[in-house]
This record gives sequence, structure tokens and C-alpha cells, in this order.
Amino acid sequence: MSMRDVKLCLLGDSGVGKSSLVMRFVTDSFKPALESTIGASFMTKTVEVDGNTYKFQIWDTAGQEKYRALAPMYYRGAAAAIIAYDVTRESSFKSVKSWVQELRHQGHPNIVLAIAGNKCDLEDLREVRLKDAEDYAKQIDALFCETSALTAVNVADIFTKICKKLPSEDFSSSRVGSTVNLRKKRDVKKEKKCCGGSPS
Amino acid sequence: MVKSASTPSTTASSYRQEPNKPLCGYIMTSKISEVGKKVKKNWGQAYLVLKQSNLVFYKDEKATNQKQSGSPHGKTELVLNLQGAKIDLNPRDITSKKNVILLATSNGSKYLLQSDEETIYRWFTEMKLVSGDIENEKRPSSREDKKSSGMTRSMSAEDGSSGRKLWDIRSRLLGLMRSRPAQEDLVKRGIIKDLVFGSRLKDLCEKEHTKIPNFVRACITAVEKRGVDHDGIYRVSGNLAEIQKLRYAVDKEEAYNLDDKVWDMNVLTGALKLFFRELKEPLIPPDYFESFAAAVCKESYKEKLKNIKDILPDLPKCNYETMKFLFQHLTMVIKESKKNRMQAHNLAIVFGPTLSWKDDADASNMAVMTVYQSRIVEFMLMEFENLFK
Repeated sequence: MSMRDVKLCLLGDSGVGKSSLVMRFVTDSFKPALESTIGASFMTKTVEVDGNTYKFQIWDTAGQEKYRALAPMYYRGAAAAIIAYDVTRESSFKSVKSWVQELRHQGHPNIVLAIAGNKCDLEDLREVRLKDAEDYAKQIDALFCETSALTAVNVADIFTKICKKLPSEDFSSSRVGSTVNLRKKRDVKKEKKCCGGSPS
Repeated sequence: MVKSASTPSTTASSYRQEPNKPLCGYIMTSKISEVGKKVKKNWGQAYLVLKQSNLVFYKDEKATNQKQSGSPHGKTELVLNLQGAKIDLNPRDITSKKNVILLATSNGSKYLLQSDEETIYRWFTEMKLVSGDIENEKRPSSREDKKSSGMTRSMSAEDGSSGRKLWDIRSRLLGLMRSRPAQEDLVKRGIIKDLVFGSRLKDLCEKEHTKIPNFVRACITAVEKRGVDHDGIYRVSGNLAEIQKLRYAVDKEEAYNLDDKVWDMNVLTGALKLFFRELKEPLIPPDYFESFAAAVCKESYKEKLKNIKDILPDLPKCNYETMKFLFQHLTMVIKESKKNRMQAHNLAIVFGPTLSWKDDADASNMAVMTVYQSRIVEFMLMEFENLFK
């Protein structure tokens, strides 16, 4: 069976729960007081969707403003990005928009974008309406889920959705992402060969 | 119009001049042709002054002030009228020297002027403007080109009017740039003010006659007034637009009230962090970073404490006092960590890279540095009482 490597990058304001989302997804656990991420952290997780295996290489970036400049190192060449915000903080949703813009300009053109409205268990503190976020995601053609790392709602779902939305090409070759398939083109050329001489 | 209380001229090497001061300086000169008749080159230094449309030659600078009967320019050697003169750069067929101006006056005499590249370029531009020798300009050649922008170069490939027009625009722009007052001048006259954000701690403290910047004091006081038990205090990012708005108000010296509810807690803490990030030099000065890092790497707790204790008194006074004030505040935050979930370690991760950095650090070792940065801050927070009392 084929296995596909998926480089994924988590972005978003500090304290929205990026590391918590990753932790819930990878180890299915939750820490109520996870400390700030330094620089970035890396984890992997393999999942199976529709009979295909996907190995996520997850780059969980630090949200502290000081590290903003490092982000391109992590989203460069990423096949997918999850931009997380905190449904209880309007300003974190505003930051999503600037991340989207940056990724559209700097990221891989076919990057799969997903927006995660985290902490949706805190309904009484909500500042960002579900509909607003949904509309925005639709408008920019991004996947969208409201998630809760605490209760595990929709966490695995968002990764599954990403798998389904990944461009389907390249399942044959195991290395996906930044690999350029040179072979295909060459084959085409060979077929079109028209002048004499034995094909070598 | 610039009406500056003009200070006497800057050094000869500074490019920008006082707008009303004529161009002057020592230049190597040689006459090569006298009213159409060739003469032998004879290089010598002269002190030249460009006075309106006249290029005046002096033996030296002193001679400009010496009296000579019948001369409004002092004791001159030679006065050339540049009106109608042709001015060329680097005439290859006449001399192999570099950075040479060929000046052909309207009466048929020719002179060469030679100096370093920048000086000659400046004289060339000025003399061109004075002489009105712009219309007939074939574009300047050789080294000149390298200085001009890529656009000029590609455009000048097509001969004729467009090239001339460009040159015209260029010399006008250069003239405009030259007549702009210098930055120092604007600072002196209070048009450019040193702002609060992005300043040098020492300068800001001097300006405010304090050891701790007013904004730092006001911001911390406001945060404490609202209560440091706020969840995720200093970690959670504030609304960036609001933070910038606050910064603008502070920088413009507009009246701002940090107790106003328009600024939420995360905006205040975000602005304080921004203030420290934007300093020209970090609160932990780069020169001291290595010693701090070495200190926290010591084996025993005692050694760590002693080493840091030794460094602190050496810090610039403003840095020390501001640090003390900030850390005292942060220890209060830590005391509420049951509620705000910001333990020393967590706070140190946030503040480490905010209070110390090195300009030459690239992204790859930034993460490594962060470990030290936060370790330093964490240790100082834990040992605040021992270190600062």
C-alpha cells in the first residue's frame, strides 16, 4: 500500500492552542497548562483515510510575535497548513486573515488551507461567530472546523479533511511535496520521437 | 524654503551641504588649452569655489578671505564664467587619469579638474546645472554609468531625446536632494523627533530625565491595576492593530490613558513587549549576553547566582533600573500563576527573546539562542529577591 508524506504547518496567534491541537491529534491527550512553544516543534502521525496512508509531518510553530519572522521556514514547501484561532478572542481571528494572505503570496500555490476555530467548548466566552468564520473560509476556499483540543471535538476530522483535499497526484512516488517528477515529461518526449535512429 | 539657523559647514566629505553654501574644496586642476591654443598640461592643486555662475580658483582656502582690489571674490587666481561652457566627464582622449572633468569655456579655453569619484561627481553635477550644458549632453560615460540605476542604463541605450530627458530629470533630482536639509539638521530643529518606540533606552531616559522610561512605568502600573491574574498574561497576543494604535499615540506624544477600557489587557501587555522588542538595543545589552549565558550555564546554583550578581552592577544604569522594575512586576505575575497559568518558566519563554537578542543571529541559531535567553530570564525571575535587593 502506498504511503504519502504530508508536510503540514500550524500557524496562528500565541495561546490559541496550536500545540494543544497537535498534542490531541498525535497523542490524544490534553494538558491544561501547556507552556509556550520555543521556535517550533515537530511531530509525526500516520493516519489512514479511504484506504490510503498519510504520514503527517507536523511543524508546530511558536505564536509569540518575536518568532513571526521564522514562520516562512516552516511553511515553505508545506502541502497543507492549519491556521488556528481562538473562538473566544476576536483578535486571533483577525490574524487568521493576515496569515492567509501571507500564505497565498509566499506559500506553495497548491497548499491546502484549513482554518481551525479552537476552544469551541468555551461557548459562553465566544467572540467569533461560527457563521462569520465559515463564510470567510468558504470565500477563500479553505477547509474549516471549530475544534476543541480539550474535548477532542473535530480535531482528527480536520486532518482527515485535509487528506481528502490534497491534490491526488503523485501517490505512486512516495516522496511528495517538493519533489518534481522529471520522468513523466521525458516519457512523453520519447513517444514523440520522429526522426530516424533507434531509440536508446 | 529652508530657514535654518545654519551651522558652519560640515566636513568636506559629507555629501549634503547647507543649501546656501557654495560648493568648494581642493581639486587638482590643469589648463590644457588657452583660447583655442593647446598648452602643456601642468597639474596643480587649487581651492575652487562655485559662486553662482563663476568657478573661482584660489591658491588655498585662506585666499578666499584675503582682500584684492577690484575683486568681489577675494584674492583669486582665476575666475571662469561657466555660462555657455561645455562640461564633460572623463575625456579618454585627453587624459588617462580617472575622475576628471573637462571644462571648455565659451571663449575656447579648456581645463581639467580631477579628484576622487564622489567629489568629481558632485562638481560635475553642479557645474552642469550652472552652465546650462544639459540640453547637449551626451550621457556621461564610463564609471559614471555604474553609479546610475539599471533603468537609466537601459533607457540610455536609445540615443537622443529620451536619454537627454532622463539626464535632465536626474540632475534636477540630484539638485533637489542636495538642497534637502540633513537629517541631523531636522532633528536639531525638532522636525524629526526621537520617538519612544524604537529608541535607544539611554537616549529615551535622558530625554525624559528618568531611569525608567515613562511608558514602561505607566504600562506596568496600568497592568497591575487591572490585576495580573489575567489568564495567559503576556503570552496571549493582543490585537495588533490596537497595539499599533497605542504605539502611535505614545510616539506622537498624544495624550493617552492606559486605564481607558479601549485598551484591553492583551493590548497593554503586547505594547510593553513591543516596546522592548523595538528598542535599538535589547534591555540585556548584546555585550553582556555572553556573560549572562555563561553564568546560567554554571553547574551549581551558588555559582550562577554569584556570576549574575557580579554582572548586574556593570549594566548601564537605565538598563539595570528598568530591568529591576520589569522583573519586580513579573515576579508579581508569577505569584498569581495558579490563576494566570504563567509560571516563571513560561514567562521566561515569552520574555527571553524580547529582552535579549543579537543582531547577527540568523534564524537557524535563533532557536538555540532562545534557550539561553529564556534560561537567563527565568533564573533572574526566580532569584529576583537575591539579585536586586
